[in-house]
Amino acid sequence: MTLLAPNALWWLLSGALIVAIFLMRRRIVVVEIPALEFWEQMLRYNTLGRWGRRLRRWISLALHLLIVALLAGALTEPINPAYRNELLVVLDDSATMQTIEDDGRSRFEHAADLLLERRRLAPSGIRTTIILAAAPPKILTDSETVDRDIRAALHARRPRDCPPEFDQALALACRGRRDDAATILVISDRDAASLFGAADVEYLRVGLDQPNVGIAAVTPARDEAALEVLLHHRQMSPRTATISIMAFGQTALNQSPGHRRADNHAVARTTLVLRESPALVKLPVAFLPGDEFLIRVEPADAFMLDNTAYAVWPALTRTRVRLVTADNIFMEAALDQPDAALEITAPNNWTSSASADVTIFDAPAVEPGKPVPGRYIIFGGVDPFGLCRVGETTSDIGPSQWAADHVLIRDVDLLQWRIAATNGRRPPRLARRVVEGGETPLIFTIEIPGKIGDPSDDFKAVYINFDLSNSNVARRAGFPVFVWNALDYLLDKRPEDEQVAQSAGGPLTFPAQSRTAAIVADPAGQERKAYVDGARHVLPFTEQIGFYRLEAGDSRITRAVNYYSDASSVDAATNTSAAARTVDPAWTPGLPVWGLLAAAAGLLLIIEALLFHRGVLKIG
Amino acid sequence: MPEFTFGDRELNVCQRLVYASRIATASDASGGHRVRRTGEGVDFLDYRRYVAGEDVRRIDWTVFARLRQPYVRILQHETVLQVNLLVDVSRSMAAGAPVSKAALACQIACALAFVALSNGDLVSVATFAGKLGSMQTGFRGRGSLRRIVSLLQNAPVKGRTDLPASAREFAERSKHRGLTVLLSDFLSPKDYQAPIRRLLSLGFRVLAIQILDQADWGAGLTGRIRLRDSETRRHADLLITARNLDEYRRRLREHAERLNAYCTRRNQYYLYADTQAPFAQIVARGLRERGLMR
Repeated sequence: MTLLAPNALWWLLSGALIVAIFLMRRRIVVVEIPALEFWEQMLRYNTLGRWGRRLRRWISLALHLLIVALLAGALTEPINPAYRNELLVVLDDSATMQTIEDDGRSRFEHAADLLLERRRLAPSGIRTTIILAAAPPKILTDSETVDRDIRAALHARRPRDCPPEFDQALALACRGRRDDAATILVISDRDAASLFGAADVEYLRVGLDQPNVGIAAVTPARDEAALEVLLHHRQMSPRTATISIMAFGQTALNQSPGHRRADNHAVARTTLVLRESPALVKLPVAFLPGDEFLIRVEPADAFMLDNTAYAVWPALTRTRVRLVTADNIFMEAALDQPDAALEITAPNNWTSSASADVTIFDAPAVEPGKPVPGRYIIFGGVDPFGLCRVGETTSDIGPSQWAADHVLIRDVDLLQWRIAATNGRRPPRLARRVVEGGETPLIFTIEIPGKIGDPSDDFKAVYINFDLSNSNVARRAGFPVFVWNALDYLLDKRPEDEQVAQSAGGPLTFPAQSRTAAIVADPAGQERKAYVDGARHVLPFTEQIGFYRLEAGDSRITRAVNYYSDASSVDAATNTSAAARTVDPAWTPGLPVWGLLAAAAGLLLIIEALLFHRGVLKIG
Repeated sequence: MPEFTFGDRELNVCQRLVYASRIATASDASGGHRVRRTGEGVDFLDYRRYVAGEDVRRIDWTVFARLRQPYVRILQHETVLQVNLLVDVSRSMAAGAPVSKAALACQIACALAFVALSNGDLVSVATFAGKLGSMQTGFRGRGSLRRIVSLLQNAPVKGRTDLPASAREFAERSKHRGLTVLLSDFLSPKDYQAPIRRLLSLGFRVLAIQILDQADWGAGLTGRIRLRDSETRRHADLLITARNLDEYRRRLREHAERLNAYCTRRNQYYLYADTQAPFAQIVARGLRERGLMR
């Protein structure tokens, strides 16, 4: 039996008060009456002997004391863990559990201690399954009964560098339990209500609120001449933080002021005062594509994982775009980007032999020909490749259904689009409809593969079934986004290709160098297998932050992985010591025995009242 | 001992009272009560023919001389009423306000004795509790009243009521039948039937005067108290509420009604007396209403 509030046992002292009242009750007002017989008849009691009367009185006292004991017992909130013989522990081993508490031990170590203590309170030999909650969830021990093995398994683990996946971990625990009544215990430093909703779990929380500063994101500026670092911090304001950038390899760091070189590293520092969170720091540095560098924030705090960010300067490539238009200022503005080389061609001057990464037709009026390998975006007009038939136009419509996950419409608000009249194109069977307005296709794609192994022989086109002049699309704020989504789709670009680093926990992709699995060296130097997925190699998950390197032949590709979190990394329990455990009352830890005790006390109270307080208390 | 007075004021109330003649019995000695019965007497009632075997001394020779037929004079019988006063002086009679039940019982007994003595009747007085106490018989004449008052004033109020035993002993020691007045609180629900039945079987007439005080009706009882029986010394700790007090009063009232019904069914008499009522009112009005006095 476990008492959650053992201090309530002090209530047992109130039993002394009951005894005192019991003894004082003997000094009762005595009234002499001529005959007791009528009272006796009326109250229908049996005359007891001397010992009977004494026994009756002591029984009454015993009942009173028992009621007090039961109520005190109920107040101690006893639980009976014995009725469950299986314990499933969802142990948070996510990045924030690395936080070092005041006693020099990490939250994960505290959590491991709590787990072992919880096992000690449970019946001996209870089957214990430990599920690690960081993404992706893992089973550490399966129905283990030996304390020594569990302790060894816990000590061999360290928290991973990725965020937790409690939903998956709890689902795993629910699926894995052999007994429906098994206790599911979650140990974490997260806020319980936001994590589990109404799940019926026992919850132990660890962690102190700690000051923290961390790197929330690192992005290169679009002009490739600066680096933007987003810092988040708690309880740091208005302290001073120093950001150091350490670059390796062929670097352009020496273009920035205040840089130093030491041990083949280029080092630059800048200092700022932390006030509001988050804080955006723009560093006037740039690197050569593929350069590796890392950023540190000082001073280091209890949670050091986000004090460092790893990065690889992306290999930005300029996209050659040919715009075939008579005059379209909206299109020109959308394509006026640093990483785009725009060439505007009059419709009469366009030839299919002209080379460009992507050709954009704005309301073409050319004679239909045959499909020419290449990448195309065709806004309204006549289909220059003769793939679509011409049908009836539709007036005044807007998008009504679309393929939500398609890259073409990512971050585009289609509900604001109004089309006065469509071109009446009817896509061929091989087309994929992306956006439709009723039965009318508004946007569709056509892909015609060319020679095997020669991507340049493919035909890939995005058709927009209306003229920009007949719609409000070109005037919408999201129009440039749509255009660049179309360019990314046609050129098969991924967002991560332009990032300096990715988040820990998710998959990591590399451009495929071959059609077979490749080997990737993780930050610890261990080799891991990356599988082929289309034109990419994919490492399914990343558990550590740092540089991941894929080497295939002479080429070498590096990806950086960081711990990015929107939430403050140490937003943990408040006003609780690191070693303290708190149980959220929303969940019942074990069998709630206190309810039974309280009910028994109430029942005894009624029995006592009926037996001893209904008219006659005792008989003389 | 009961503290009561019986002086001139009390005597004035009783002076005009006379026992009704119908309660006198045939076995009584000759006295001042006329009964519808022939026998030894003074007042002429009628004539009737002489029947052979009768005492020839009873033939009216004057009538015989005139009519030549033997006639006998019928005279109205005059009897003496025997009044037996049995006064309960057990411990339960000690309670009461403004006078105790025992004092009221003694006052009533004295009043009844005075009425009897004033009419030349015989009076015997006995007190009882657990057993029959002092019993004196043959009081006659007004001069005996002082002795009766003295006897009752000196009777100790103590002990536990045992009406059956006391009545049995009284019946054995009593030489004359007559009106037996039982003055008690009759708070033993089952103990009154046997003694009354016994007295009736022996030819006594019975007047049961039940004397109760407001305390007997539960006045002043409330809350958690210990009730102690004044005679048996048994006690009960009670939580007295208005509800169970009403129930108690109902039961006591039913008990008094049963006693009344028991006496009435057997052509005997019952009188309820409250300590708060003046004794003269009880005697004069109560007994007149029941036809015991005129």
